[in-house]
Amino acid sequence: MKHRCGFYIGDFFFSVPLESVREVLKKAVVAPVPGTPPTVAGLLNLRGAIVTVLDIRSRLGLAPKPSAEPGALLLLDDGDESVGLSIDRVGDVVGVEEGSFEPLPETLRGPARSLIQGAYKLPDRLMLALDLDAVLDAERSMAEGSEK
Amino acid sequence: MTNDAEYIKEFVLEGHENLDRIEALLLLLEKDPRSPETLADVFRAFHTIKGTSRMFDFRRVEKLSHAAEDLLSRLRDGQAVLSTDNVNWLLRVVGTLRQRLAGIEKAGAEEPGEDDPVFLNTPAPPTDPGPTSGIAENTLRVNVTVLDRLMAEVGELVLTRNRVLQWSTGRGDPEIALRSQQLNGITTEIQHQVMQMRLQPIGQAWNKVPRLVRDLCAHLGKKARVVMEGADTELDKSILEAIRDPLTHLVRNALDHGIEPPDLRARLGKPAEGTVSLRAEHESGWVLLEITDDGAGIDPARLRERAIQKGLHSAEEAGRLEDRDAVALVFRSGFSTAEKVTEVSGRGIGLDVVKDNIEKVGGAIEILSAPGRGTTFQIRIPLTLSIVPTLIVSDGQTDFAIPQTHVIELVRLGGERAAHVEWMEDAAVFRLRGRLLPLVFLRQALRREPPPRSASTAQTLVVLRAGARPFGLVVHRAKDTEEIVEKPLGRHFKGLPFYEGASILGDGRVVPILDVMGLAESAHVISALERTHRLAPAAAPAPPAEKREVLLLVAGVDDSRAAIPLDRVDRVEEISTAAIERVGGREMIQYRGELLPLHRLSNLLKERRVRPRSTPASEPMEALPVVVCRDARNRRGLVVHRILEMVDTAPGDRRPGSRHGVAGTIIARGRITEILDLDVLFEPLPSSGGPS
Repeated sequence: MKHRCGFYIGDFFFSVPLESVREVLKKAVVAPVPGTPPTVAGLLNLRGAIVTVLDIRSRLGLAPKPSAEPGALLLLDDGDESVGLSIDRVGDVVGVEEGSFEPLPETLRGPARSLIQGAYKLPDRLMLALDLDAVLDAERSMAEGSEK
Repeated sequence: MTNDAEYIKEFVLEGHENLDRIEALLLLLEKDPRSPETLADVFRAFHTIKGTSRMFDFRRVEKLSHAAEDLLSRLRDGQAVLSTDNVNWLLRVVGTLRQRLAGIEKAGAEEPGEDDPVFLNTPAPPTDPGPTSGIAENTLRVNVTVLDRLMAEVGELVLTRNRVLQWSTGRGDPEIALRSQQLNGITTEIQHQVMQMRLQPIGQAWNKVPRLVRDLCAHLGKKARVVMEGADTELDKSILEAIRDPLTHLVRNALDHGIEPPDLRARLGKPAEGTVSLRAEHESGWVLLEITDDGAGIDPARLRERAIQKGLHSAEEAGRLEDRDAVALVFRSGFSTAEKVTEVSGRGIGLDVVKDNIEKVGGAIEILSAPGRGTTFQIRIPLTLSIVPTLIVSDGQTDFAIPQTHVIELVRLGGERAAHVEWMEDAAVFRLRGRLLPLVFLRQALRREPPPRSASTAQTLVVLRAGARPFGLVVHRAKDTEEIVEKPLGRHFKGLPFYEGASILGDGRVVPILDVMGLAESAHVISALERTHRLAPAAAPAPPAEKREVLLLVAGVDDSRAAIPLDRVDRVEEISTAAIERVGGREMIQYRGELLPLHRLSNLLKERRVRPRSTPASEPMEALPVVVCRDARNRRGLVVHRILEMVDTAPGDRRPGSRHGVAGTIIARGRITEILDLDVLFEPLPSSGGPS
């Protein structure tokens, strides 16, 4: 049994391993930084430290969140750094069995595909497994972001 | 013998402790010079030093402390009243003793030599600058303000060096070029050394910890050992000073609240002796510090309770706090969990002060605790204290900080001044006191918008220094100046040229700090080569002679400038206008038995200026200077108005060209000058030689 932290971006119900989440911030003010690719939402003042906040909406084919509004963030463990991920809202922590995992359904196409590893079959719905390496990969997020 | 070494280490530590004590007491004595208790305390401390130094036969230490003891016994017995001179002298003795101790610590023995007898015998401040003159010393104390001033002067030296380098490249004199390259190398080395001088091992802040722990253990009836890792991790002197007190406080805290008494530890199945470990390591521009104890840890439940008692949180709020947030309550002002204020930690200084001190130097502190197993404080501090005075500017939407070291002046654009902005294709320049300043529009550079052709809205020009040459950054508004602490950006910013860091303003907002060099480079104001050269000056030797290029500087009819690589120039001729023939709409002359196609400079590079620089020569000239250029197959003549001079350039002087037919630009005679790309300009081959 593993635990995953569920969260929502648009219509997507994503999840990441619970241990990869350092913190959940419900209302964080992110300072936008011009000149960055659309995947970089800006910078966050986290108790005196400066944290990069990513926004994968453009990679999912969604409109980026207007940066002026405070929004929910997951603080993800990125080795030596913490990296923020802008989300719509956090969901429950869900215990999942390895057997309930399935690779990406064939029906799922579009830009989101490169960010999703697969899905967990929950009793009532599917919970997508977000590919954290793909999300945090600085070069890829720049390249795919700049295509927009 | 290791035993000896250990005893000596102990002696040195104890000596420093006593000297610390003496210094504190002397300050008390300045307020109350007759206090018999304080005088006796100082006397005892010197006496202890004297006694132990005699055991080790450290004669210089013994003699010095004896002299101090002498003076103090007279004061104590009322034979004299302590004067300011006395205090100064005693402080000097303390300073000298510290030097001796440092020497002993290093060498394991006392350095040979005599201390100045005048200094020893006269309890008055000697007029010579120090007691150690004439004695071989490997270290010396330098006032940090002197070091700071030196650092500032080195900054000026670097700028002057840059100016000299630029000037010398324009001279084309190999002797001058050689000398200025030497100047370049020396300057770089000095800069490096001065930065090095400010770095100190963290061990300097740690070396009192073992003694502190020992004393605290004795006082509290506990047992603990100290483990240190990474004591040689270096960081800036001022940072080291800033964390010294917080560190001591955290160690006291670990002993007082963390480590349990031995019998309790035994009952809990822990080793009777607790462990306090100090760890330091470098991590990309930061120093990571950890202070860990294997003591009782912090019970989040107790902190929640306490928060309710103190009225910081309602019971409901406290119940909702995550454990780690509850533990972090210890950083709140006036929040102490000790049952009673203890003599060791509870002196009104709380962890909130520790946190403040660390954040003041741009650091951050976090606490991790496992009840029953121990507590770790993690501190992250910048390697160098970079409190940078900056100018805050706005691009109309976002605020940015520019380090003031780069700012030369501010010029308000708009109204009549906007007319001084001239356009060369996509490149804008501004004429400031006769000097042409390449312009970068901040908003457009960052947001990839096309530059505004009409500078109608009021804007501000920030004249910046990027490497050796200035450029103008057009911003919406210059707002304020603010001293900020620079913090590094995460790896997602690595590929971006615009920012060198970020900072948090007084109001909590995050502002990016502009990388002036990167900005200039991305807007082609300076070449990437120059940037690399500046960033890694030590690695860049003088450019080899063959890489240098000599350019022929010419002027067009309207005094426009161009440069031609000299290796493409066959000769420079003067032709008579009467000799020009027109063949198929193309100008040619008979030259050395062949037809030489002529190109007029003013036609090759279309006029791009808003207004002509000077009135064109109205009368047609009888003789025209022609630069005869050659390529693999043909010769061409380039008709110019005037031949100016030859300039010697290094690759670093060139910036990329901004339009077709231009290989690059240089600054020559204070003007932006385009280097002609003859291969491009002369293609396609004129079809004048076709069958007729």
